[in-house]
Amino acid sequence: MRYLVIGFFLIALSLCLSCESFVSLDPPATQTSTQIVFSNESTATSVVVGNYIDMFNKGALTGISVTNGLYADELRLHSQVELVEYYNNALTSQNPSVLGLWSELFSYVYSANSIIEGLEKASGFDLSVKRQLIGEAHFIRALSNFYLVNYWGRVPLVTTIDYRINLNLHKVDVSMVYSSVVQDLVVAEELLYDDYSFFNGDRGRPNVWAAKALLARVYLYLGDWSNAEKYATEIINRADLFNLADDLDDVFLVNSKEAIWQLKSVYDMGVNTTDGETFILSAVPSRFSLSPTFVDDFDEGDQRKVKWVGVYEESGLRYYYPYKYKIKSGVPMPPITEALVIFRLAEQYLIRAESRANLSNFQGAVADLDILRKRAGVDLLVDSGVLDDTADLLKLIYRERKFELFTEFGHRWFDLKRSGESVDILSQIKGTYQKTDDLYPIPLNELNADPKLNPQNDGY
Amino acid sequence: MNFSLLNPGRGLVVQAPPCPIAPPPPTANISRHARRSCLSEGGVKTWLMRISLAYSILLASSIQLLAHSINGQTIDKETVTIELENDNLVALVKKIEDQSTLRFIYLPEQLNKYGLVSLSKAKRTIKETLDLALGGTTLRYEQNGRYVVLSEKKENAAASTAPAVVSPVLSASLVKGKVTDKDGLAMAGVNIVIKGTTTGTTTDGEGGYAILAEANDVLIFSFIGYKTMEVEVGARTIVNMALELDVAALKVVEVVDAGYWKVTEKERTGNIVSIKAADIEGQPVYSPMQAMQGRLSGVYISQNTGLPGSGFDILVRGQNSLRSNFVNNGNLPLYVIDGVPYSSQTLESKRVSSMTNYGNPLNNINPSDIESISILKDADATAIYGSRGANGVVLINTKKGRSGRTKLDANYYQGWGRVSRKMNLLNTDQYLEMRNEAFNNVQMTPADFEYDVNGRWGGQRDTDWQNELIGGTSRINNAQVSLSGGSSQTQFIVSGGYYRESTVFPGDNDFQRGSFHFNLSNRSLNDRLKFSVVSSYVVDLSGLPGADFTGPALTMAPNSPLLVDENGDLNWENTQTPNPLAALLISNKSTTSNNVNNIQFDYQLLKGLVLKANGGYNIIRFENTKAVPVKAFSPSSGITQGYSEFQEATTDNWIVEPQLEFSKVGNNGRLTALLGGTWQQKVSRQKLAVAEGFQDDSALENPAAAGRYTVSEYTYSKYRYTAFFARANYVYRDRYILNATARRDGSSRFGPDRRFGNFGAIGAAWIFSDEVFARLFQSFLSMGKIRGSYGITGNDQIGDYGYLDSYTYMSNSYMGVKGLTASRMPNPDYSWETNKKLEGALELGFFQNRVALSVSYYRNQSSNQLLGYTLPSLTGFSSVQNNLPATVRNSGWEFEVNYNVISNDKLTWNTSFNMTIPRNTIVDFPGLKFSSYVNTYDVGKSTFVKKVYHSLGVNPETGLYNFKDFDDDGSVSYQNDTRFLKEVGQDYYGGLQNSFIYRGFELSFLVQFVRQTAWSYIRYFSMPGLYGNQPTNILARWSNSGESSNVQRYSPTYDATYFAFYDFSSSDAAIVDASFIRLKNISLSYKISSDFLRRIKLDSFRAYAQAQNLLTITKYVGLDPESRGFSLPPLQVFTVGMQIGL
Repeated sequence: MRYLVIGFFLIALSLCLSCESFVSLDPPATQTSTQIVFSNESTATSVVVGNYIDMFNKGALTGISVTNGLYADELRLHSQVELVEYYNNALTSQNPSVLGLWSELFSYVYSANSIIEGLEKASGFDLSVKRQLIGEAHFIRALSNFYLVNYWGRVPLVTTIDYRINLNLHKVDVSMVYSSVVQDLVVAEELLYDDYSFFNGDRGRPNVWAAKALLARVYLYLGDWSNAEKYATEIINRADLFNLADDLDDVFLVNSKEAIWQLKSVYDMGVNTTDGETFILSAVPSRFSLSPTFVDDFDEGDQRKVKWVGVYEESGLRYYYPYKYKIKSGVPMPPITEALVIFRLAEQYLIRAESRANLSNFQGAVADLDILRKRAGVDLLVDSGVLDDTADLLKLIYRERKFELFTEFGHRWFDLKRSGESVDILSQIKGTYQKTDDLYPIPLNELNADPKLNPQNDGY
Repeated sequence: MNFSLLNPGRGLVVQAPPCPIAPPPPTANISRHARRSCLSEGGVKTWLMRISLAYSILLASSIQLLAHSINGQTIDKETVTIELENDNLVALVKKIEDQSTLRFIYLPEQLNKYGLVSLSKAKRTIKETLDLALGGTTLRYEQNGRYVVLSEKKENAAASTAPAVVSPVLSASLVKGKVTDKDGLAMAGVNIVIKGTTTGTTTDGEGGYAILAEANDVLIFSFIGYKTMEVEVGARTIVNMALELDVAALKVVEVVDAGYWKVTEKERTGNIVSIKAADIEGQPVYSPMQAMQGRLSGVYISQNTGLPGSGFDILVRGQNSLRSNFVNNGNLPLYVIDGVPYSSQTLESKRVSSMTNYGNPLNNINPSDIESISILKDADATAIYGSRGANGVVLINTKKGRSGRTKLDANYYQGWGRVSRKMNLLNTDQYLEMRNEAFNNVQMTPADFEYDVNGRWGGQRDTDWQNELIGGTSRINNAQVSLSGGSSQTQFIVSGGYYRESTVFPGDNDFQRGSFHFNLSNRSLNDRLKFSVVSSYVVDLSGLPGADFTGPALTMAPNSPLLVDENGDLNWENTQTPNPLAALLISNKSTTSNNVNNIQFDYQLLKGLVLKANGGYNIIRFENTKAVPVKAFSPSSGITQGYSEFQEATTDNWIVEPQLEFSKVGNNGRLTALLGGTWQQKVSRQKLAVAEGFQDDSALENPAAAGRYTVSEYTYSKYRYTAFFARANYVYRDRYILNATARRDGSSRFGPDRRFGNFGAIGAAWIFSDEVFARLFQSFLSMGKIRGSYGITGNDQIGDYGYLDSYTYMSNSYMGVKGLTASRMPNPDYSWETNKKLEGALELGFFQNRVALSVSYYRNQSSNQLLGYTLPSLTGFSSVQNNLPATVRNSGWEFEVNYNVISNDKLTWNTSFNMTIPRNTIVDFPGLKFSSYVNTYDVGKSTFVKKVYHSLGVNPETGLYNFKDFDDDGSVSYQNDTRFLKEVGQDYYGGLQNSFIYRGFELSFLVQFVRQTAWSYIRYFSMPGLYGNQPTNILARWSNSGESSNVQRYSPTYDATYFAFYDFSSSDAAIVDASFIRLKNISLSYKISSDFLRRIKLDSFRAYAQAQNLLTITKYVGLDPESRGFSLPPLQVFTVGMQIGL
């Protein structure tokens, strides 16, 4: 009996020596292996939409309406320590929200690369879906690189998910980043669906028109006027898909005909858009409000001031806020009726007007501007005599952009930089803006983690 | 050497050996001398040494210390089957003993007088057997309880006493008695030896003994840790004895828990330090962590905040791993509670509890249930824990039942805690002066929202918010009841406890703990099978506010409006900063239940071969409900609905460890060997959910009433671990000790090809004081030991599944499609962090060990660093799990001194001192320059060193802080002008404890000292001139050109002044001396004498008063040099209580 027990015990011990299998575990139920994810249509789609969920939830990219608004001349700061650096144009490399934006944008680049790499290897599902997903990945990567280059100038171009390769990357010239953005968009144009029917008319997923809209914007930023005009025209010509909303209050509704791509709320109720949530005032502002000087600058009778600027009054004081989005959230929890518009038709008119002005098609430019001015209820330019000077017309175009696109995805500051007026205009208002403030500092954490990102941008 | 003194498996009768190796020549002249000389040539002295050897053997096999139970058998009922062929009577007796539980008491010489006997094989009663065998002798037998006494019949004894052979033996008679301790409790296992002989016995479970002795014999009573007593038998047949504790001797013979085995303090080869229940009982603490502070060399524990249930940092022999942040900390020791590995990390999630610090897993252990905490430090002690032992092992053993009469023990104390130090902050005049001067400096006027300075708040109010927010007194109640007792076979303890502590904050939030502990041990009649069950269940209920009010208390402007208006509602006039008291409206309730169960079987297969099996199960559950009502938000926030968050987390852990223990005692040495295996599994789950859209705030805690309920996070992870381990220990001639351990380990945390690793260590000790040459010093040197060890342990403290390439579902959907996101940056190629530990130590005892001194040197080299290697976010992730070729060395000296200054009948004074001097260096870090750690670590420097600017003080012209421009490029930048200049860490630390016992009074106090540097207040406070109060130190600011000052000028905005301030807070000037000396604990108790108690029918009564953190001496500017910053300092606690035994 004793020997039996000892023997049993020794067998048990020797089992331990070969108990390799005891410590090899299956993936937990909460994690799905990458191989499986990309060999399946629905899970691959889930990876793609994961990016939009992150955009909605992480909020650094969608938050540029606020940060750019403060950094430029749209918003007035009341109190919020973290935002003071934006308002004073005194960002430091340790600013957490600068790091947030940087890493959020690069996380989309990673995700896009993983989708491209994963799906190119995968087989066995519907080709058109696969093309759309790869197209979306290229679009997402282009969008991210577009913002990276506009905030930081020279940045590394990341095209793989292998960190060992990526750790050796150096920053590349701005033109190289742009050409990669263009390349990605051209590929996306090839691959993406060309209308919204695949999503039952829902405008929440980018299709070929989103790619074209970004291309038009990219060419505009690059000063490639004819390409900018070409792409804007292609979009404007699709009246079956896109129309300007007659009522300014309808522009930002879910699936508005003016929207080319909008970011949908990830909820069924409650927060519709982060812009509505953060801008709309229901008390004396403790963070930021629309700058009174900005509001005063609107033309007399501009319906955009009437409909898109909200007013909160308390003890004789008036505070303004952007009111493009009407729903703040709160009680009762509203159903989702608004969505954050990232590309819309009005911008394409402005892109085309600017391109035409630069190409000396003054009539065409004025016509495009007047379409927007008419909707806004202000005097038409065509009635105010001949406009045949590019510079004069550009001034009007930038002014139109200011009031049409205010606090929308950071347009204002990018426009000021593009026009070369950022220092002139902003230093008048705040006195602190310098040329080097046209670029953000590379976050210190990143410089520490990757010394190859040196040198830091000037002025930091 | 003669080891037959020990009678393994039959510990009761330590009989005089019949000289088994070399029987004495037959002689008619049996005398006392002859009786002794048969032992050895060495005389009394050597003989005494053997006795002590015998004791230590007994200790080594401490299981044998406890005696047998009384058995109901009688010699005329109990049967034995004996066959004897020409054998002597001693052999016969042994054979009977083998088959019976009865024990014989006899003098071998008396039996050996007679010739050989033969018995045919048959089943007979013992009486029949004895009658047959003793038929031809003049011996008689008599049963006395479980003893059978064999002696010469009186008349024959007289007759055989020929004048030439007068033997004192013949007058031997049976002496019985009971041994108790000072409190009258029976002591089992006490050794009783007749002085000058090897004749002896041990007491049984009831303290009883019986021995054959003569009138002029002197009985020596001895027991581990008790003073040895001698008494002459005289005419008595009953000799009772009360033994007294021997504080000085206690240390040397103390049995130390080494986890898989036990070892005496004397024969210990590894470095193990421990505290006992007595040390813990003197302290009014809620966590075992607090109880250990300052008492253990090589163990640095700091308390993060003074909130009950809060976090602690623990480092055993320094920082080995470069992973040192909270979520990824590779420096946590392994906790093992009653043999069950216990999670080193808490289940609390920052997202819900939103406290600035986290709790500590040991907060879920009731300190009152702890018998001992041992910390294993060197390779010899830790290598048997393989891949988990790199940072030391903390072994916690809970209280076990003791045999004796059933005892009821009740203990209650009540206490009061408060913040003992306040910072000197600006008053309203000074504050407004600062703010106005700041605006003047930049010629700006305060903005609309700057209520503190634009006149809206005015300058009338002057509040020191420390009084309002952290100035309260917390109440502490602690009640413990235990019931324990048992027979020599079965012992039990059942205890329950309740602890409550409120806060020093406003409001009536509190922390409560209920606990239940149970232990049952049993040993079979034949001593072969033993088992014990331990179970404890502890529930912590925390209702603490989800915020620490210390930050607001230190930074709110002194002219801020009152936080509560006259109606008792929150005053939101103060919109510049959130109203801190809003946190009191948020209900934040958490429940942590911790259930530890362990069952242990020992079965003696053969003599010297024991099969052991240890199984444990631990489940920890954490639940948190945080309900945030609308009224907790400022009306200006626009928030019109409350919300709530729910967290549930569980960790299940089981372990099975079969073991085989072998021991053999040879002529010159003792061998102990252990073989075993481990299978362990840990499963952790966590669920976070958010509920929104409630109709009204009264239903916030009911998720079913929510408009929307979202599971925002669900995590699951499984960890498995298996091992095969072995240990061999050889003690040669009682003074040369070798201990070897080895372990082969597998952990699921590594990639498929990297899961197994080998670890091992060797330890040796030489007790040179037992050598012949040491006799020269024996007048003062009572113990001298040199020991050393070397070995390799590992570290697998990383997250699970780091090798897995996978995606995880997100909590949200987009257009009806659930999102998936990459789980991590996978890497299948990493493996153990290895830690090579070297140790050498000298242990000395002087003057009968009244002075004990130990000095240890250690050097641990941790390499193959397992790092969440920081990645730049351009890679898509912030880190990847990897092995870095970096090597970190922790070396240091540890000193321990124990001095039993006075020990007499009236007064005992014991003083003990420990000190640790840790050093830490990054020895090697190939590729550091190109790694993400280039700004964090530097080769040749400590891991605690910080890369900072070198401050040149305030420029008298500009009034701004200046920094050294290392690269002389005319501007100061982080990239170019910071250097690794100063460390933030401990230079040395330790404690000095004194205890005095005078009659019933006992006074003890502990002084803790730490020499360290830390970030100064500058790091925590905002820039002087901005909104927010400041320490008065900043009043010495620069204000006029040409002025020299240590504080730069004020500024109300984020201008150049701010950048200078910001850099200053990351400069060497912001790292300051934070050393402190703290009267950590003082305890005074009075025990009423037993005479009086007997009259009032009480067993024991003790009244006591204790104080914690009574006095702190430090130069550090801040509330506390240990917690620092904006967290509540460890409280000063006073308690009074009493303990009653029934």
